[in-house]
Amino acid sequence: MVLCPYVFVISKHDIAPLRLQPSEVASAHWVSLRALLSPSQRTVEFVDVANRYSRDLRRWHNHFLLGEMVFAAVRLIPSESSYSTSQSGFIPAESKRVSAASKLRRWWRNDPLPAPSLDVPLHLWGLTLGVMADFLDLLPPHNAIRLWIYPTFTAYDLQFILWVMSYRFKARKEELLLQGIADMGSPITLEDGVQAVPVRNESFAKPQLVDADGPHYDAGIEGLSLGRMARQPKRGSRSDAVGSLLEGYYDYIRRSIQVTMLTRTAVAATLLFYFIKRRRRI
Amino acid sequence: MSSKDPVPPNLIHHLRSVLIDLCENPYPYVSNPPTTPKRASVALILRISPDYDYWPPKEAEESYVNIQGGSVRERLERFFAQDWVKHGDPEVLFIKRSSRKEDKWSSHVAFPGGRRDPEDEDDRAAAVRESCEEVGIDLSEENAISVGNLAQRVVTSSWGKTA
Repeated sequence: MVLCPYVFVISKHDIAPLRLQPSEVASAHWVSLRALLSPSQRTVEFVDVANRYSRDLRRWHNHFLLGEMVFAAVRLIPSESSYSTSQSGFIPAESKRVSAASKLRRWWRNDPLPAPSLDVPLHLWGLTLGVMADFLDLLPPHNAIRLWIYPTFTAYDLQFILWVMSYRFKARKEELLLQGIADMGSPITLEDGVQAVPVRNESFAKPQLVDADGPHYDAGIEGLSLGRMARQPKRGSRSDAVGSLLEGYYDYIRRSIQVTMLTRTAVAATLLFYFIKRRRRI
Repeated sequence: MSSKDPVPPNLIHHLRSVLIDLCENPYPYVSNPPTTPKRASVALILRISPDYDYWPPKEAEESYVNIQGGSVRERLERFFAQDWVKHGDPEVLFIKRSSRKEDKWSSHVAFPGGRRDPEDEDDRAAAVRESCEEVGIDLSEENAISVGNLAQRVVTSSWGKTA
């Protein structure tokens, strides 16, 4: 699917109240750009992996083995919210049969009521964060992409193996993005071919590259400043930064899962062998 | 007297520059790869929330500025020249999608938008139609300025395979 984002500005102060389509929209929120630009609202989103990959990997890779996936996220602080109040679940209903475990849990937490939907924090992550980051990066301090992290996992061994295996991949991406090539390996996003583009990041003090166009500042993967503020007029060499960073990354995820599984199996087999040997000696 | 947490004074100024730049330098059209014929659009809808001390004038008042008519750039210039806009707080609209399952409320934060229908004139029209259907917001020239687009992207799902 090709996703096409469009930007609109509401030109009137007093537009009609929003009318939410209940089958599609649970709630709508106006969020200040200041809140989105604020580093203090950066967080992570934990996503249960099982649903996302069960088609691709073997069945026995389940939630228990892999843990959850961790994605970059921004907590939203709305200034104004509307809700589809007619939707079931807006006012939490007490289920007719409350299990003993659930009652115990509530007693332990000293929380007599199930949480209403309004208490669930709003997290912006994934594709929508990618689109928003592209826009935010155009505004000072031009570090929206800095807030983005490569997805990883909660399981520590998998996290480590993924980090090791993807280290050079990420370093290569950083290099390419430093040169300003925003859309490597993806000719469908180009019209004019790949162009090297000087990157200018005003939030860094020291210029590190100087060429005929003048000094350019070292952006680094954490201080990327691609997009409009990059001093390049050529169309076709601008693409979505997050998409570019992710391109090819999921291969590393797949491979690191395989390596982790093999490693765990090897370790388990070794331990089993050791204990059997010990028992035989006794 | 409570202390104010003011909008950084340059934010509106930079936003104006960014939007003018976006309208004059659109991102390129990305064609569909052969395996994925679908296209979808989303709307990044901005509004300016007025400051208490700089309230926008009503239509009948003298200071009211009609920003309809003219090029996108002209309309943006007129819009951002207004006092209430200069002192306002820019905001963006997000929606939280309904969950399909009955026992779960939690679901994803997204922009209004959806798949492009055959009846849509172009990708932008799809964004306008979906926004109207989903949140009842009218993005016609009377209420909104259509600034331009952001980078189009091929969306993958299932670990990097195209959607």
